[in-house]
Amino acid sequence: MKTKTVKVKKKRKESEIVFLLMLLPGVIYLIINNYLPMFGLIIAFKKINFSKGILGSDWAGFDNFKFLFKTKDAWIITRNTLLYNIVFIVLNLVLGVLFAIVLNEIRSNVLKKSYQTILLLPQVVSMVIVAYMAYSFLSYENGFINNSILKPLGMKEVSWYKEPKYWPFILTFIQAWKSIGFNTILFLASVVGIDTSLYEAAEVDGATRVQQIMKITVPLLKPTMIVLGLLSVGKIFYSDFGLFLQVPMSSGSLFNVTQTIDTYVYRGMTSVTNIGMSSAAAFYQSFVGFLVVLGSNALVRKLDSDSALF
Amino acid sequence: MKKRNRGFQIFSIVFLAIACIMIIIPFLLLIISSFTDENALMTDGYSFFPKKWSLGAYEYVFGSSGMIVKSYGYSVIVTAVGTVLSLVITGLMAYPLSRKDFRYRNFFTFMVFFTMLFNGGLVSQYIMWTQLIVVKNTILAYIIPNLLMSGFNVMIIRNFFSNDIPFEIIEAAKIDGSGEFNTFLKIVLPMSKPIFAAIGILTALGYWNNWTNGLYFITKPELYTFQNLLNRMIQQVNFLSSGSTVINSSQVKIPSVGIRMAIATIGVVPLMVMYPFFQKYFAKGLTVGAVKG
Amino acid sequence: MKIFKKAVALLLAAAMVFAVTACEVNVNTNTGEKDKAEETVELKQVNMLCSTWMEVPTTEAQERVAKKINEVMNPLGVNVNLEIVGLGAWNDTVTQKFTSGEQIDLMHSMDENFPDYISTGAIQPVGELLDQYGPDIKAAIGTDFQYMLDALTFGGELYGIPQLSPKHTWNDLVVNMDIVDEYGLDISNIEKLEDLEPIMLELKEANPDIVSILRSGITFSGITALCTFDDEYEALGDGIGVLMDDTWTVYDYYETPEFAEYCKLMRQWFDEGLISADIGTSSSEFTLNNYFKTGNALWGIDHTTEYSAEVSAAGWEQRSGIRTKVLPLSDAVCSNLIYSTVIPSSSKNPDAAMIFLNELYKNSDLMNTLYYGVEGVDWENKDGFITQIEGTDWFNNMSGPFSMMWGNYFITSPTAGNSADAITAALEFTKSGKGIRSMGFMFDNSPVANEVAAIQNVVDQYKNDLEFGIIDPETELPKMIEALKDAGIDKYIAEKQAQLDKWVEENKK
Repeated sequence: MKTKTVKVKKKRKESEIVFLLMLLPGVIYLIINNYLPMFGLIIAFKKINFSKGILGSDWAGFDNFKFLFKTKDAWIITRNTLLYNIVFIVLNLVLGVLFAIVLNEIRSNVLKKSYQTILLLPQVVSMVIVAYMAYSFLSYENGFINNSILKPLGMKEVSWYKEPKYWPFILTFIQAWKSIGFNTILFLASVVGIDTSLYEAAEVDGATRVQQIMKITVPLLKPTMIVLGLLSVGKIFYSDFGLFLQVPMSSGSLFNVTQTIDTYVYRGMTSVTNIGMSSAAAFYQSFVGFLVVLGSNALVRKLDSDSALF
Repeated sequence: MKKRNRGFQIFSIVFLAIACIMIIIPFLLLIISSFTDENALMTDGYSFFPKKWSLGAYEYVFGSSGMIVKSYGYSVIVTAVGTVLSLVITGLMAYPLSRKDFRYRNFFTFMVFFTMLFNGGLVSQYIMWTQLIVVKNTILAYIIPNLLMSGFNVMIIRNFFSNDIPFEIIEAAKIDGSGEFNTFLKIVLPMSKPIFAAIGILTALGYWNNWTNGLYFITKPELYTFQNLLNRMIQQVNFLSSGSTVINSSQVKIPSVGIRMAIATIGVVPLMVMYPFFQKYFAKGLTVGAVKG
Repeated sequence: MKIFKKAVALLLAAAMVFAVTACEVNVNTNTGEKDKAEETVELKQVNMLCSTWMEVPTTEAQERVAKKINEVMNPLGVNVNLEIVGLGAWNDTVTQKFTSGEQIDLMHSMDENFPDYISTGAIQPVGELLDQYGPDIKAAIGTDFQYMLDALTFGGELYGIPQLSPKHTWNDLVVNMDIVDEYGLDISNIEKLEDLEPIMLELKEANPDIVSILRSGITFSGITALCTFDDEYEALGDGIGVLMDDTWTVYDYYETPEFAEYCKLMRQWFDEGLISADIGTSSSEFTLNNYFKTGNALWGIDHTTEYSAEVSAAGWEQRSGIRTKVLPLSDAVCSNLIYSTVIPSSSKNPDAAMIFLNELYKNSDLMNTLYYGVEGVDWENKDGFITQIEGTDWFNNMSGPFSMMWGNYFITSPTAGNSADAITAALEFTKSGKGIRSMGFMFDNSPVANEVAAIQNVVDQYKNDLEFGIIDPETELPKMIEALKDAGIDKYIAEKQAQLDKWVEENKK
């Protein structure tokens, strides 16, 4: 009896050593690439003086954070950042699952591969280029929609870059357009991994394809959805800088619906030496994201302890 | 295989076809406008059927730097080496974190996750990679800083390991006397092909698209990757249009509309062509060593 | 909670590791320096950080030019090392290098950054160095450009050396003469902004497809247009708190009746269909040159540093391929130094940096090398003109990587395509112009950085649209003014006024 527990313990020790060795390269990398540079976070609390260096500079307390909360805009930028992110997170999950399932249905290999390639295409272009693609459709004078669709139909041209009401939809569409391939691929891996015998059994029971998907595929994707959801919740105070800065072409009329925390900070930083303030903004975004994740993770653990991140 | 529901098949094909058309159309307009005469673009607007075609934008892009082909080579090397390295270290890290019987699992998971939320910013990373570990002006600068391992990928792969690989299989291997690493290599990896393929593609795209590493760590133009070359052109244009008082802008030749479109086209088209081959090769590479797939 | 504690412990550990390694790094670099110094005996290293709006030249070209420069400098005990950064990466690179304390001995500064560099201790005073090592710089500046030196003096200390080149800008209207002749437009009586309107309306009647008003280059803004017709206006840097009359009172520009008038006029033009709705966006399509090339634009307001209207018009013709005429709308004044040269605090050899800089104000061959590359490889001398040799990548598109960013432009040789006296004419022109009243005042906005961030966002939101008449000033201008108040414009103006008063007291008048 005793020897057995010793043996088990020894084995466990061995496994642990193997595990730690496997972790080693990654941990070293994280320390060098992520943890050591975190000393940079203190810049957020410093009044920077380059001749004294970062550590030697005077402390500034929370002075660098003040500008974030100074104006009425603080409410607008926070609202925009949060609302867009919530919509994006939900939409990305739903579309990702939908496209992954549908793509998995297709039996022709050629077709499947072509679809997959095309879905990934937008992933390869930078937001600057996306902004110009959008502009080629939306420009008042030269845009495709005004010139080649609305005009020939005898409809009134729309001055897209002046009308805030369209932009929540335009931005949401572009975001989905750009990230659909990414999300599809993530879910596709899980869909492909599902044991086919489950479907066969269901088929024997007379379940339709749609029923199979709702009863088998979607529940099996739940853990992935939760993880992806939790991971994106951590970024809920960040916004895709290119999407909100470049795509609306800095048009002032649209600020109420396009200004987010990141664009606000960017526009407010007029000089190269404002790193204290931009670090403060990043710190604030991270910190709030961190709290939100801790909260939602605790919630998930309560409901379904296996799916929690940690 | 049992025959599947035909109606759903057709729905799937049509649904995806529509989605793909919506994705393709902007690219088509992009490519066509890159071949449109600039004056026609200004007077008649963007169109799928331009009145006048032109190769002017391409002449500028290829003419202004003969380095495009070389930089393309660098991009391919960086992407290939980077992706492989990245998958290895990410996979090694993700596996122990997926094991519920691993004592320090939560600690290390949190360690990974924390990096996704907080980072010290550009400046301190720059100090790290130029003074502590010098990668400046080497090809390593494209591969190592920031890109080699992302917390996101570790979490996704970990998630796949713990959800899609039944623990019983691992237990069984253990009882058979297989060591942990051996189990990982011979049993877990072959079953995880789909997720490695997915993360591999995303990592490769990440390497392919990245230009910030080159911007900060490379000062020798002959070491530029493709994205660096193209983004440098775009960046210069953006700086010029930022309205800085520095520049008497009318004196500077500005690459304008068509050129951006040409730059984008050059970036996208080769990938469109290469991707299917890449995917095939990639899938093959993954099957090597797989006992059962 | 346990996790949290562990994470904190880990962070602390990481920080300690870093503190240790950081010390080691310092030690390492120090010893590294020593080795180098021993190897090269007494040559002092000068790291020169440059930006370029052209393409960054290849390493080979950089080395070629550096070698040629060092042929001159090594006998003087100085070894120059060039690092060239594209303008797109410039700001980030500078911040990174300042923060990491990397050795930079010489770099250029742009006006808008200069006060920040001083207030953050990024650069060092150069007055003594100039006295000791810069006799030729002083000679080149002389009394004619003394006001530039004054402009770089802060609290009694000199922090930068002005780069010498034409700095005087004047505003002008660039007219497409093909259209003027074709439609028989009368442009002889243009004196104010309002005079443009009837001509544009007449043209619109005749041919509605022709675009009338445009941004010049990409930096056209209403302010440019306004100050064109108003001599009193001075932007005081950012154009938010400005001078509008002959007193030293700082006004909120957006609250002035002049701005309201201007917006109203632009709104009227917009309603009359003279301005495109897309112009308020940051798309770079709407540049005068792009439209001139299509032959479909009438005119644009521009500001230039060329020494005569003819030279400026010739430049436009060369770029756009149409016949142009340039109508001067203002006197040439120097309102900003554009580039100056500074020595960062991280410099290890400020004396050597000044010795090198001194050469750039007297040695013509050295300047030609820096601007245009190595003679015989990058360019050749044809009848006194610098002529590009095809296929090199230092000297491209009529310009080197940093023409007019360094040293003394007035001692370089003219490039092909210019008149023989182009350089001397430019010098005369620059000498004859004067600095504006507030020349030399630089606003340090760090005490009100919070307000500036908020104000800048308000300005970005409204300015463009108001200035192009895209939104109605009747309703929107009051909103903008109110938003500016919220953002703390009053505090900002008060700070600027206080700094200006102090400056006036110290400096003049």
